[in-house]
Amino acid sequence: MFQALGAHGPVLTPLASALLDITLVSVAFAFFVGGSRTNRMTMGMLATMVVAMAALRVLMQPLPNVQPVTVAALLVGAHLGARRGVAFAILATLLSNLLISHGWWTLFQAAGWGIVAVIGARANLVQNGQLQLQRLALVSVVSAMVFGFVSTLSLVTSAMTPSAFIVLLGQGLPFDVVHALGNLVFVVWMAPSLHHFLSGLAASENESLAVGEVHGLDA
Amino acid sequence: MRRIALLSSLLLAALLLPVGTASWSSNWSADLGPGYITTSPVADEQRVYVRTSGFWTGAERPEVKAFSHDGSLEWTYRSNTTTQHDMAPLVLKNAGAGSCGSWPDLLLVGWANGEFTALHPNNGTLVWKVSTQVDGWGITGAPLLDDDHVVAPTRNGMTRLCLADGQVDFSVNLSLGWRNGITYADGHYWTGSETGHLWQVDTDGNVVASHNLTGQLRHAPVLLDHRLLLHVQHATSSTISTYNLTSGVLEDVHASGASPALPLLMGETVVFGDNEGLTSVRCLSTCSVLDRLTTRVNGEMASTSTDEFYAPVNAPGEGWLVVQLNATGGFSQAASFSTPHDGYGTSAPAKADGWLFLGNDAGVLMAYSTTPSPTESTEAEEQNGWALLGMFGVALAIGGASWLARDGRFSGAWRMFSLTVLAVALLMLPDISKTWNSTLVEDNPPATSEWDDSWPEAWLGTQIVVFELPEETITVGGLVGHSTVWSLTEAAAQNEGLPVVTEETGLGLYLLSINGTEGSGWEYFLNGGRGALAVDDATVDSTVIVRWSLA
Repeated sequence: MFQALGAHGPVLTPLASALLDITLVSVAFAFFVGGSRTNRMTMGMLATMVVAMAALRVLMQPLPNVQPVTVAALLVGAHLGARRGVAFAILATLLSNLLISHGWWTLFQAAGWGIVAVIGARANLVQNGQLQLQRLALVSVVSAMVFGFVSTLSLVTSAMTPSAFIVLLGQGLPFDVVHALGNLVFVVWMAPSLHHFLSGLAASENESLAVGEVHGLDA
Repeated sequence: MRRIALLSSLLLAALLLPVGTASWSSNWSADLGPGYITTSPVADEQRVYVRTSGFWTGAERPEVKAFSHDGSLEWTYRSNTTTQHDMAPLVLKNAGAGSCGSWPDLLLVGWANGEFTALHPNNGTLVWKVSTQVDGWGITGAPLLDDDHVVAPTRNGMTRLCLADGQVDFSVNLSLGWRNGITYADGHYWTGSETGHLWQVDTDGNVVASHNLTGQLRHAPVLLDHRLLLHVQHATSSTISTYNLTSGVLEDVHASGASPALPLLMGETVVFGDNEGLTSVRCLSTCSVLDRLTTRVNGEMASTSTDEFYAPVNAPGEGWLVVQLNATGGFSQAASFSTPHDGYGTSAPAKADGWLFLGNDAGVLMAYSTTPSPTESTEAEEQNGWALLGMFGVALAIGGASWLARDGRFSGAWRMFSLTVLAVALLMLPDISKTWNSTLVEDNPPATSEWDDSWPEAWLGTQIVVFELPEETITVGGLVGHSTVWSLTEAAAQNEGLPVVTEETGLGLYLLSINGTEGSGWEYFLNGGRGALAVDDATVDSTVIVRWSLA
């Protein structure tokens, strides 16, 4: 498994790689601006968060499978809805992978964190403006496993049997556990600040929407 | 806080307890340079002798070294023509005389290049040397002392030599052998082979019979009363069998794990080892299993008293197992003997005059005695110091978290506690991952499942590497004696002139590129099964097919 850790899937041709990038950026853009009107401040601040989380991920790369993006995706999903959560997940993955290692696996990592953002949007992590820390901690642990599963799919080949895939998943379990532990650390260290930041962002967006055209809640 | 203080004190006290089971203290150690210690050191009253093993390239070659008991290097004998792993056990023979002449004290050494040498133990000079057949490799098994002769297992049979001058008494061709020592029983010499035969040769060198086994025999048969006890190796399992010298009947006693160790005779009990653990067997009218102990022993075992033996545990981070045999042949007690160089190992320790000498794949000869040397004590203290510091750090962090929690600052308490847990988890991850993966992927499929009929038959029973490069597939076969995927891959790549780039990581060695191709990562497969460990941690059998593919 260790030798396979650095192996993520087939090598993409430059054209395929470009198509993948264009597709991911298009989907992220569509989710970013689609659904409801997004004000400039939200876009700017979310973009800042994408850059910050991508940078944090790159900085933390020496620590195996400690992933700050997971908790951030959960919170973005919880505060700004699934669409923007997915957009955040795609952009943070794409940007950080351009600096770490970009390829076929980016698609699966983006999908993994996109699903995590959707989970964040659906899990009632914020109730009456209050962040449910215990719930977030539990969901972040589950999210680590979900992300581990989705990203492992990038290693599936046509020759791989279901039992071989299960072994592959099993081999990644210690790393998923570290991912979950890392998420718990981010929950207790980072989640309250992020919650505060995103609450302000959501409030300013609601205010803008209140004075402008309201197209409904993004979810 | 009292509880925390008490817990910390208990943990510190536990840390300060002796690591090993016996009263041995580390005295000195010597790094033998490149290579492994694959077979047991041997010791006499003055010195300890040890050999290095490896796949040798460039100017590096295998050596036999002699150290005084207090650690001074006395001499080194180097084989300039051996390039494969040397695993034939060293044998000491006291001076004596016989019908073919007289001889001084001798250190007998078989080499993978087919040479069998007799050295002066006091200075390492050559007494005599005999060349035997090489087919991939030469001598890998244990020689048998027989009065004024020594019988050496050659690549394809056995040869009997006069101890006085090495004169060949007889040489007989049998079939390909690997670590197949020789036993004298019932007026005949007995040895196994890779072709699944138990060969019976008379003292004039004539083949009397060959008995079909169900697999390979890679040790000298163990003589117990009128039986030969055998640990027959299969692709992913093994069978403990007996051959009755009187009736000529071969019987299976027990089915066990893969990669058998060299069995050990202790009084009336024979101890077998393999990937599934240790098995003790005794024979009355029939032979039966007395006890089982789960561990992983694939090499040599050595008794240090009538009821105690040492077995090297062939796994990452493991040392030796010290096992007590009770009167009924059961394993009454088993404790680990840990050293600063624990890891994969197949070599038994040697005990002499209050000294215990050990070595493993780390290639460091370690000497233990009843009194520790100041240097080793300092090293041990340094290690204990770091461990203590770590313990203090963890205790301090947990104490701090508790203190914050007591003051109602739960947020701070959780922060400190979670960070501590993550730090400990990250430190433990490499070891946990290795152990977990080893557990998950216990046995690889047999090499036959990956065998390509277009390959030369001479590669059967050897180690083969397949590089699936984007432009072509390159296959290198006929390799022998490699114990890890990395050693085997490196040798194959050098054979073909393929540059291989690796990177050292906290989780082991990672192969980055082969022949300049990095792609999206390289994966290896052992006999078709996906590799689970870092390449320098993943061990390989003597018959294996390693396939490198781009992900």
